[in-house]
Amino acid sequence: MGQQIGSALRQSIHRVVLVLANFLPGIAAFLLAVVFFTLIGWGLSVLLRRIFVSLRFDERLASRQPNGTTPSVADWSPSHSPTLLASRFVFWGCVLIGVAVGLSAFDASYSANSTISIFLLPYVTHITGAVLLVLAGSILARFLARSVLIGAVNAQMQYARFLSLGVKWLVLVLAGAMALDHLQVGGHIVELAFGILFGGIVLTLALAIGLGSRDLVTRSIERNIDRPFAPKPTESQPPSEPETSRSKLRHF
Amino acid sequence: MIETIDTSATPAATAATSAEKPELLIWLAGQPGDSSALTISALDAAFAGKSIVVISPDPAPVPLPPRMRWATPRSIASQSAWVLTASDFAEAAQAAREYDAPYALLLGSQNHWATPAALRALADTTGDRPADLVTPRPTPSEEHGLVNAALLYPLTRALFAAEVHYPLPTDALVSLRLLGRLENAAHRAASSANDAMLWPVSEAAVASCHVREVTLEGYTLPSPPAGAFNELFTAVAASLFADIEAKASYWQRARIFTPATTTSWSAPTSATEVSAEVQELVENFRLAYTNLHDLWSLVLPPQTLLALKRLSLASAETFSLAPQVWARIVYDFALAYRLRTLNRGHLLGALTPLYMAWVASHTRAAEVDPASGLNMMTETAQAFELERGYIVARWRWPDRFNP
Repeated sequence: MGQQIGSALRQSIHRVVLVLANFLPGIAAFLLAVVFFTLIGWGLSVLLRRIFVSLRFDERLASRQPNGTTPSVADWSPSHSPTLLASRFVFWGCVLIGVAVGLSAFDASYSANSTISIFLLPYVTHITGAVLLVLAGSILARFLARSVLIGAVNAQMQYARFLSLGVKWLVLVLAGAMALDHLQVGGHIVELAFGILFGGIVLTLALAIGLGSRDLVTRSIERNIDRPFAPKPTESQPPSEPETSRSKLRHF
Repeated sequence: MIETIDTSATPAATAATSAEKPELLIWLAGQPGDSSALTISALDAAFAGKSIVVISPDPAPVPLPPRMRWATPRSIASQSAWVLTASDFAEAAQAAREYDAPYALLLGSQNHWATPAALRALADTTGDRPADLVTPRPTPSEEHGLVNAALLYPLTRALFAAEVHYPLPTDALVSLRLLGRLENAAHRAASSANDAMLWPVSEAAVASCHVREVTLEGYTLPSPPAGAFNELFTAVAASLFADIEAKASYWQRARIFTPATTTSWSAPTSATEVSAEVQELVENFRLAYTNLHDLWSLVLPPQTLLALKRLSLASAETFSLAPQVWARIVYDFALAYRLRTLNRGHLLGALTPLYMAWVASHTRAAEVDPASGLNMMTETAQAFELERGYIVARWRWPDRFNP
């Protein structure tokens, strides 16, 4: 009995060590490819930056840039420098190529029927996709939340922050559900939970806006109802000023 | 240009008029029909005896006044334009070159003020030094335009040392030399939008052109098309900040005189009743402070944030944004626009409530003492001049002052 347990343990350890021995060259190849291409990318980006600086690329591009709110390549660049943008683009392009080459090498280090290769690699791709989805979702959520917050504050809405938070969480919940769906985690539970959450947030926002804007809508309806009954101007009584022109402030 | 010659004149007179070098080119911007018969008769009376060329989208009047030539522009101005746009400057420059006119008088679409005397005063370039740019100014009692008083005039005066009260003119006399520079700027701007704004005063300052301002009796500022204030404010501020960014090498180098003293500023303490308008503006500022404080803290230093916190706690009776604080806020936002600390749309949207706080402060000051309300424009401009060192330092070393 003891011998059998010992033998089973030895065999399992042997199998795990064997898998690790097969696994490590793949990992080493992956890391080597990434490091190698990162170094190439770094070298190329430094070279490109020096070339662009010597050619005064930024100044030339800026001299062609319109004097207004013009979308140009410089608008997308870090620190408003197209040179920096180009060099970073080259660097990260090389890193991505390195990752692709590394994954390919990792895949090649396994036999075609290897269970790890069959299950792990597609899952790594899915995880990457899900991470990108969450990242894009959070960036979009932040952007939209700020847009809504500023727009609502400038429209003098009392519930501006609440509205902004609602929009933010709508986008985050959507991105999260998409990521989970992409990972094929949860199945129908995710869809159901997403539907409930999304619907709940939309209903909450609708109620909040509806209740918050009650006075505004009432005033607007009252104005529209009152308008036809406004007295006609006579010689002795000048026409009353419309409500919009009450303000004496002139901004432009 | 499609030129029209007066057919009722004799052939010899017609030939003489065509060959004559015009003394002035008049560019009537705006939509067909806007340049009314009133303006034409005023032009005729103002420049009688002078050879002029009028470029207008309207058909030529019949009969055409003697020594006046008439042409239509290649393109019609944008519907939304309420100030002179990039395409106005570009086409006027082209026409002035074509006719070899030394000066062009650009008139906006709202020219009800255009009496012969006013037109002559605006087109007068004589003086100690011939002017390259002449801009009109209403009489002080008729002055309006809070955005101009809070932002456009102080920034232009502090950074470009130009004592021009309306740096975004709708009517102006421009020399051929300055028009050439504006045409280049217009061509760059026109790639984005034909109704992009240009800043002739700062362009003139950079080109060392002589700028003059004439006060015209009865001159009124044009009204922008009715619509959302927020979009208009954002567009004007974005254009101004972009112009400041483009000309940073000039205003950073320029040795501009900074006033040693300013008129004293103090918060209103009077018990004068607060108007509903001010009350509403103050409440809106409090709402903005509660919601936008996080965004402002990305742009403004702690000292300014503290001043804004105090302002949010102040009562409507004593609500007052010090001109120095306002100047620093604008400079910080101009820098953030350059550094893209925030999305530019968000940044300018976050500036709007602060501008409204300045408006509330200005309106309250005018309620307490009407005279101080009139001085607000000068006080604000002086504060911008005093704080000029702040923007120069922050522009050069933005990280050193990071909040």
